[in-house]
Amino acid sequence: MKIGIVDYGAGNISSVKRMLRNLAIDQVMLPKPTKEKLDGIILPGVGSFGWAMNKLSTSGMDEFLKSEFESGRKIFGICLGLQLFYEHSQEEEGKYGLGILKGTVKKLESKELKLKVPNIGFGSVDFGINSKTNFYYAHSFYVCPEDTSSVVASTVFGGKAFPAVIKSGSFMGVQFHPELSGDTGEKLFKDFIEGRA
Amino acid sequence: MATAGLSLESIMSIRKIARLDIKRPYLIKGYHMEGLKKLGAPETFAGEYSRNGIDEVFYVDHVASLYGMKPDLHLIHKVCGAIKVPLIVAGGIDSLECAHEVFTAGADVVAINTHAIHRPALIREISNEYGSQSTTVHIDAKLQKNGWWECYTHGGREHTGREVKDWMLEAISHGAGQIILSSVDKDGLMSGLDFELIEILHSSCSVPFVVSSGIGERKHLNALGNMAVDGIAVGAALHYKKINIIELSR
Repeated sequence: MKIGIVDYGAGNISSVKRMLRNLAIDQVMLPKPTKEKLDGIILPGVGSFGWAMNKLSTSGMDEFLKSEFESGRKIFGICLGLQLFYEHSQEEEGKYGLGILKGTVKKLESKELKLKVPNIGFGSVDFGINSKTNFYYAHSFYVCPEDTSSVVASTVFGGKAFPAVIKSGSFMGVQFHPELSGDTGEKLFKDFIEGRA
Repeated sequence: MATAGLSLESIMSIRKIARLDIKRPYLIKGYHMEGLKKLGAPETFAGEYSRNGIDEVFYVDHVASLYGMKPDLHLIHKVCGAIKVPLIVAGGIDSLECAHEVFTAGADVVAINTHAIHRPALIREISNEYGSQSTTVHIDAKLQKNGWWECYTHGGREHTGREVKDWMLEAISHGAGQIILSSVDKDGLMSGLDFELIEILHSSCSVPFVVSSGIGERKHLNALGNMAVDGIAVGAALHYKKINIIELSR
């Protein structure tokens, strides 16, 4: 099994590489599109919405991700990597995201919530059927998908529920960081890539 | 057990962070940030804490700024490889390029003190590129004779003339997404947190607020009461096994 990690050229993806190493899954960095047949692609969350979109469009990775999604390739988006799949973000008004999924990205507002922004720490993710698991969050934004049936799990912070896990076709996106969530995080990714989640 | 106003929910939601003070390549511990004692390989301790359920690891290179050294990227990479939780790295980060190297080596969050006080624009530079959630400002404070708390740099050695609350608010305005507070007076003593210091800052910190220095036993946390503290960093008490992670999480 081999997974490609989208490389924005920015750095902090060591923990994603570590997760794959721990799972004994081969990995290849993707600074630009590839013809190699991969078992899946990880879109990690690095930097800000506008900055990351600029990097993706300069390298041609934006079109690559769209065509890979359409071809049914498994794609796993982490944090900003999930947010980039949508059309717009309050982080950078007027900047288009990948727009593969319909919906927007909104800022967590600390005023209305008992919540500090950025929201950092472990949160309980509710998968329904008595299944709650803790995953690590570090974010200031969350996704608001048009297709609410794509939300397969949510989390409550400061009295507000927001989507934690999105599934749409061959795409799974998570607002938390499985690569920073111990064995539970590694298991979630393994389940996804092996078709169990 | 009396919980002195700290509700179960607020104890559960406080992040538990293992603090590793480094004098490369060793994990060390001192008193008042001096008189440093070698304890062993940081990656060994970090790996054990990660397996036992710590929420995060805070790596502090104690001598980088003091001796004008660059962060030890090789050692950061080793510690990163030994854990499965977020790694916060502090010590000697003096530019965006340097932060980039530290992220590439394995940090999920960088924490800056000395070089942020000298050039506050560094906070914004890192925060713009990596996001505020990855940009922490680390404050070392020490009580002065006439009753004010001064920020110190260079591993708790150099005066700055900056008052602690004034600097904290400025750091947040420059884009810091988290504050980690250490007390030079309480460091390594395991005699309890510096509550007077925490009291001054907690309610005006609009970003996550992590307190460090002085935790020696579980009951020291009870005294946090209803203070707005989002995380605790524990060093010596974990290394010397005076407290364990399960106890912290309860």
